[in-house]
Amino acid sequence: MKKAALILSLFVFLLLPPGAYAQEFDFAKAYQDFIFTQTEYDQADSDYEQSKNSYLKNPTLTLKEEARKKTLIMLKSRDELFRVYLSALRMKLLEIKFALPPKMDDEISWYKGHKEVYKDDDPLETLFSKSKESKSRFTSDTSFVIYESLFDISFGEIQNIRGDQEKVYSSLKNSIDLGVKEGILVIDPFNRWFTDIDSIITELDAINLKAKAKIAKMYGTSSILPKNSYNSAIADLIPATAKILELNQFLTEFLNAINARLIKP
Amino acid sequence: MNQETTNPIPPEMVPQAPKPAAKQLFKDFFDKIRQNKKIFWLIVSLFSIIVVITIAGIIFRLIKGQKDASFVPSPTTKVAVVEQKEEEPLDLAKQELESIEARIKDFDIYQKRLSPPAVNFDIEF
Repeated sequence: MKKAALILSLFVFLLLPPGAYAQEFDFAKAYQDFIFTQTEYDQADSDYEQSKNSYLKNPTLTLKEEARKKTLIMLKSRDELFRVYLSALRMKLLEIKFALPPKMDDEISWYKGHKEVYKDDDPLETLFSKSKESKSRFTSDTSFVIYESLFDISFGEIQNIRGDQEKVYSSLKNSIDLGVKEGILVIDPFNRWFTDIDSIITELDAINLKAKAKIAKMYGTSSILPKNSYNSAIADLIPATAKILELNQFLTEFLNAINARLIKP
Repeated sequence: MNQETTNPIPPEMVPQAPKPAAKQLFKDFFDKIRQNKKIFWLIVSLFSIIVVITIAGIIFRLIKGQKDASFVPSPTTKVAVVEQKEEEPLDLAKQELESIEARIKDFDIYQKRLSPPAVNFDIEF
């Protein structure tokens, strides 16, 4: 019978169109999974709260068993939520081509493994004890990976935008050089504008360095929570968004000026 | 020395048993499959599906061939080919700057949609 099932599944697999089993796992898919798992966790947590309150009001063995079952579902769902959430952060970092925090994969594996630690016949007291392992892991490792990733995502996106702006800037500089060589453009006032644009780029470098140093401190001090280090680093990074917007406006103005000053033959 | 006396005929001289004919081998294999009814019917149904698909393919091909033979092409209409102008570096720069501006406006430095999930860690009761 097993052989028959194997042959039949092989046949079905061969007949399936390639698109049916080749769905790409990217950030969009990972994010959808996160939203779905969060909804599942919220439901499990609400069921847990209800059954816990029922048991506390009327502590019977039946209600305790009901509360135990709901607790078990909620705890498994909580580990799964962290696994899926960390995977979404991981995919986002890969999408923006930014290095992953060194402990990212360890954290994902930990939650995947810990979910299997909860057994269907575990008594409530054992569930509470196993739940503390997750809490401890979150405090000692996971929260660091989460807040470092969140900072890196914002930092990486700013860097990518800036990289693209610098490519445009370089192309505009080339156009000016070419125009001046061919005698269809005069260098004035662009030579002065280069200095203004370069000074914005220098300011952006300083902002990035300051913010990066702030997030790195998260690992050095045990007295500051990762969330607080993250908030402080993001506060330092905020001026960068205004600067990249200003840089973009300068470059647009630069481009319009080149178009306006071109000496038409 | 003793071995030579006990087995004096070299192995290559030992007469080989005649090999069973291919027909016999196929018959034995078929009998084996017939003994296991589930696998037998599975193979028969898979073969039937393949045969039906092949025949259907041949029929459709023949019908299509007939249709193609009766197909008279209509006179081709002349399409004016518009030469695509190569984009200037300044035009490309303009498009790129517009796209970057849209990205900056959509950018959320707090990554709100990726905020850590609010979970309950204090479950003891």
